[in-house]
Amino acid sequence: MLIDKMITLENVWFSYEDEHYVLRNISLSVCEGVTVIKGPNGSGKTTLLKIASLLLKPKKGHVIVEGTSFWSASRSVREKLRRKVVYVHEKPYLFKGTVYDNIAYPLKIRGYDLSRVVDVAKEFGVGKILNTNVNELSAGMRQLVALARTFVFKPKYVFLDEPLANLDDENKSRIIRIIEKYARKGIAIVVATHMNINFRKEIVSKIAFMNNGVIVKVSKYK
Amino acid sequence: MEGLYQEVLAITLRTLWISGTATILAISWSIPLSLILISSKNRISIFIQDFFNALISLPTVVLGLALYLILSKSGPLGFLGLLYTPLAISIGQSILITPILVSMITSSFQKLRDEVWETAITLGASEFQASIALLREGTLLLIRAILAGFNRAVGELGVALIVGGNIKGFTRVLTTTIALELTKGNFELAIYLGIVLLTLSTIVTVAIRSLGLRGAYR
Repeated sequence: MLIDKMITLENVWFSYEDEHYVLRNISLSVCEGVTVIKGPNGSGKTTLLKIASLLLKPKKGHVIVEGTSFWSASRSVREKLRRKVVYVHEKPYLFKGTVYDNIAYPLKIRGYDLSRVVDVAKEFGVGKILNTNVNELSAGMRQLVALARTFVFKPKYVFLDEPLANLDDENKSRIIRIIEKYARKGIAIVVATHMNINFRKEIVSKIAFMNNGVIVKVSKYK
Repeated sequence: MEGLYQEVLAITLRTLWISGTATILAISWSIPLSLILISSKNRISIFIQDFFNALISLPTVVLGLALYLILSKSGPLGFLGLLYTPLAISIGQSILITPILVSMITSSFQKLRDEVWETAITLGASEFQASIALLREGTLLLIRAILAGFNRAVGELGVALIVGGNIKGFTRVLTTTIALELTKGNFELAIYLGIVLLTLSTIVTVAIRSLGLRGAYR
């Protein structure tokens, strides 16, 4: 396992404000393939995802991104590393405007060519609604747009918080296929869920079981 | 009668100009300050937010007095010669409405911050780009805060009277004229000006309310 293709959490503790610790002594590495984090609501999955996706700073412990201790690095290094990582909320926020505007956003801020937008939108089943205002979308469609926006710029690490929560069966299957496809391409994808998701076994690198702020078990497949 | 209308119009336009300038001045530092406070969720930023919340109810005469002492000839900024000028009123009003702008922007942007900031940052935006996204997403909330600040500036009396001096044709604004005309027993002009002030205030209040509703149903 190459260290330059990994995000590693080392003995991470976290609390909001001065409350009790919601994560306690978490150690986990994220590498190519799909990592599933399973656990009941309130077990700390979302907080763990936000720490691993570099949005929250742990109170104790380290987040190592490709060999660099993220929170000890300079601001410019942090921004560079952050651009490889995406976190998608269970109820994702879409910016004002059209579906196209949202999918194009990560490309625009990077100064990338926008030609991929249409293809990616089609792949995620939102190709026909590119000019629709996001206020008119259902929760399921919003999720699909958010996922299209995530994969459009080919990130290295993707953290999905309950990605199937708002979807019907057809779209659930679509998203599972897409996650598997991008995982095969070498993207490290972490899926936090309380549901049973049937990924192909060769895609899943590990399943971590969480309860009450700790990882109680890790099953490794690779 | 025509002279009365002209006088009312001139005073109204001057009031709008002075309070508009004050609002623009206040915006220039309140928005960056609010964004800094929103982006840094630490104890110092919470303390500063609480401080500005407390300053919302600052009496205008106290602020006027403080500014008078600073801007008068013997004061530390007396050499600028700003006392009894429209700019002095604008500066005073801009200080007066800064707590309103900061408090309204920080409190109304707090929820948006969690959603927009986090989304923009995780999609690869720099902090500056995330700030732009936040302002764009919160345009209605921003306009609402600005209108509330402007409304407060237009309706205040203490600062305009103390540092403006109520000089006819120069620093005389709606509120100071109403106060003066009342003491002179000239109720006709005072009532006209009162109606104008009330109309301005109502228009701005209705605009704030409708923007708030639009924001709520987004």
